[in-house]
Amino acid sequence: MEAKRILIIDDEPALTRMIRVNLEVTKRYQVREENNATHALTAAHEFKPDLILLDVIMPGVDGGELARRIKTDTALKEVPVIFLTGTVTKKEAAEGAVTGGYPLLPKPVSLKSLVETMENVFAAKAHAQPKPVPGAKEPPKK
Amino acid sequence: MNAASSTPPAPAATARATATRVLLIEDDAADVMLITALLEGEFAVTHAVSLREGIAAANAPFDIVLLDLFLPDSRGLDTFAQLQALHPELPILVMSGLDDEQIAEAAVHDGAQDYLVKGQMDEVLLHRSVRYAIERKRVERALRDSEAFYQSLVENLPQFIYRKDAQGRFTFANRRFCVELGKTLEEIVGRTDYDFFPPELAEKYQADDQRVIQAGRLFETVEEHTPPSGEKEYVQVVKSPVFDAHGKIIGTQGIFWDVTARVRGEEKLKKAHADLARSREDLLRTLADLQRSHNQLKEAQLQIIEMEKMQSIGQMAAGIAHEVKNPLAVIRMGIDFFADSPGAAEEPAATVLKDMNDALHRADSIIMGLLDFSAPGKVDLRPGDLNTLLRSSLNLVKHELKSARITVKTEFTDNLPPALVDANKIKQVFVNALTNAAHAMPEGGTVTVRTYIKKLTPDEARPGPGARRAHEFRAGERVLVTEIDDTGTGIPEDKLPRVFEPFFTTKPAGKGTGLGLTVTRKIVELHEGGIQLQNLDPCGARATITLRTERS
Repeated sequence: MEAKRILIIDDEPALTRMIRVNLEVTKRYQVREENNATHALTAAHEFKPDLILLDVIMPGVDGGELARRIKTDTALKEVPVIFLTGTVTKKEAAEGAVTGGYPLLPKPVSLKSLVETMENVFAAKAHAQPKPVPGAKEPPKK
Repeated sequence: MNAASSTPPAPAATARATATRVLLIEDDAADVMLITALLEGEFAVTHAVSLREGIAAANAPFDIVLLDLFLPDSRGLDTFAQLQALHPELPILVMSGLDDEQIAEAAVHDGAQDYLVKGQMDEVLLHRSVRYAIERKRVERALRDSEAFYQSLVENLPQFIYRKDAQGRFTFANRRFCVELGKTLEEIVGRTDYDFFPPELAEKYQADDQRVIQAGRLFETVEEHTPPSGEKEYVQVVKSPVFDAHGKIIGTQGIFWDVTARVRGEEKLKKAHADLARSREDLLRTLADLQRSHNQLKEAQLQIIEMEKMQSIGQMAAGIAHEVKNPLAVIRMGIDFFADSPGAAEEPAATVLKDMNDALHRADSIIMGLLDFSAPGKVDLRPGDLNTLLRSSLNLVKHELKSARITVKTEFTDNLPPALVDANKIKQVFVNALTNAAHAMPEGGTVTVRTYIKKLTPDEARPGPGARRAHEFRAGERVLVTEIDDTGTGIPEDKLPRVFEPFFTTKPAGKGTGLGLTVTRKIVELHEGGIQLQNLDPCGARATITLRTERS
């Protein structure tokens, strides 16, 4: 099976590196890191990911805005997004599991739950579940 | 003896300076000689031979006049009348012959002091008659002066004065009273109050008179009158009994005067006094209101300060949380990476990885606590059974309590009205309080959970100093109370006021975040309830959580 292409957009290089190492070690994922949110769309166009892991609070462009642009980009609108954030409580994470139509994982996320969430998203897409509605609800902003 | 003349006579040579001065008006030389001889020594006698001469001589100071009624220039009673008319102040002793004694008596009737019959007088009689005549005149004069004095008093005082007999008939009224009634004294005397006043007033006056007569004592009152023309008038009345010489009451006398101005003044004064008292009360009330407002303001200020403190701590907490989350996420992934590495399950790597994992969890839960604390509060209040919520909370901590050798006692009141709560959030409050109780009893003990309903007294409804309450309870409001007692070490008294402050903890490192009670209080306040901590005697502490019942 071909490795899934994962784009991680987060301004914390140590974190993106950790996630890349952990995912790539499984051989099932090919990961590209992008630590500059303003370059995120260019990176996505180049890399053509199967899934984007997106931080919420970043300098320049925040994750919510970036998610909207991805959804309105013809080349990227079908790419699923998973939010990673450090600013939600456990309860909010549980209640708002689908924020703006996207799954949301609170940091620090374990490798196990990250992989589970990603696989659920792939499975859902494969079964042609209803697509997320762009801009239905914004992810929480700081 | 000097002959009278138109100029004042010189004192008689034979008379002493203090001797009684006698003017003898007599034309008969023999009588003059006799009388002068009888008076000689004790009396200074001046002699005049006619009425004209006598009248002129009387201008000088004399103590008495001895007057012959038959003189060359005047005869009979007229002689006396002329002299008396010109010198009414002089005592006059008339002298007559045996055959005109009746005229002498008539003179006495008209005001002469006495009469002497010529040829019948000796020295003793003459001396006594002269002295008596002088004395009688003096007494008459004194009486007249006294009468004039009282007359003047009665007639000139600004009071109304009257007398009545025992039957209530007027016997006297002073001029002022006469004028008041518009009658002359003659028209008043012999009549009663019924002749001058309306029947009901007259009846009252007569009754007052009878009271005075029966009691034999002074009676004093202030009467009200409303004349048909206008405003009410007030009259001060003093009535007293009139006694006869034997002490028998023979009537009444009264004196009254208008005291309208005084009574009005007193009424005004009384009113002013009452107004003043009212103003004072108003002032005191205003002062108390001000004091209360001041206290409320102070309290509100404290709350605002506290809220601002909380808000900035909240913002700071959120900022810290975000900054710490990324490094935690990196460590998380690092631990996961090594956990999947070969040899991770072997010692000592396994222990190292487990300790790192535990530390990560602890750090994460602190950050989570911070985020819970800073998250904007919202509660979804629904009716819920307090006892059920407590049982479920106890169930959540039963393992922790059991392993700490803590016995649980419940004293629940049955059939409580539903509490208005967000079930999940209020359970967090109960779990927190129970966990605190457990932490206070490291050697084991008993936790007692009690519920009841009570009506708040005004004192209980008022929040304590510094207490924060979004919504105050009302006195008389029925509230649901939960008490969680432990048998632990209690809270040091000096720490009690700070236990709700963020990051304040009495627990050892790693046991508490210092946010438990802060978040607990925040949740209770979102329920518009109250939470208090207090030490118990002899040991232990009590958490009291007050919640509202479901409102109708």
